[in-house]
Amino acid sequence: MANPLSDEAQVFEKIKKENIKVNPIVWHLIDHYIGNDVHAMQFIAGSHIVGDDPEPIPVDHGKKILHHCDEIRKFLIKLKEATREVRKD
Amino acid sequence: MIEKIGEGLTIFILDDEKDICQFVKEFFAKRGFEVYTASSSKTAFSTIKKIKPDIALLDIRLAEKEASGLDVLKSIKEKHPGCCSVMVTYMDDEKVVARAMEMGASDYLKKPLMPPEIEKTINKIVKKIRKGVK
Repeated sequence: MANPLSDEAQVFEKIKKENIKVNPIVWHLIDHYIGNDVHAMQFIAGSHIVGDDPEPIPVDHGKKILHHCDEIRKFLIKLKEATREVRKD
Repeated sequence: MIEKIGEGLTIFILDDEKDICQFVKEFFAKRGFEVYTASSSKTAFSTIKKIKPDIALLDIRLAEKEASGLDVLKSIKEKHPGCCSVMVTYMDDEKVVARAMEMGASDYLKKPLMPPEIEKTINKIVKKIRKGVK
């Protein structure tokens, strides 16, 4: 996990206090794209590391994990573009 | 040494994430199962009709809007009632899991899928199949 933001507690407090919600359409996208990529990475890594007989992750499987990371990055860029506030000035 | 618990058994996997399909396929193939996969409900219906699996591992949430893993479960229960279905769900899908169990699912697994949990659940089902109890 990334280092916590210095004002993270206040940000979460603001979200709670002002009842800030994420639109369900956006949640659905996040859930589908990021959810699937994260699960795929967890299973790929888990199939080598988790269990009684752990082994190093082979390079080609590491590449697949990197691919899923990249897919998440691309999705976040796309989502950021789509949800960018349009300036009216 | 991995025990070939799946010898003589066919398993079908439905997941819209192709890497998950591939890795779960390898996982079961190593255990002696004959494995078939699909990443959409349409392919699932035709594959199931053709292979008549002993076990089906069905992701409930699919990318498509037209159908979900529950529709595939329904079709399996109608056409191949002998097949044991294991539903794959997300953490917040309790109601859907309850619905799937009512519809006749044998068990369920929560994402993220981890090999020891899959193994435990499938071993339980294989034992029932071998004993003739489903």
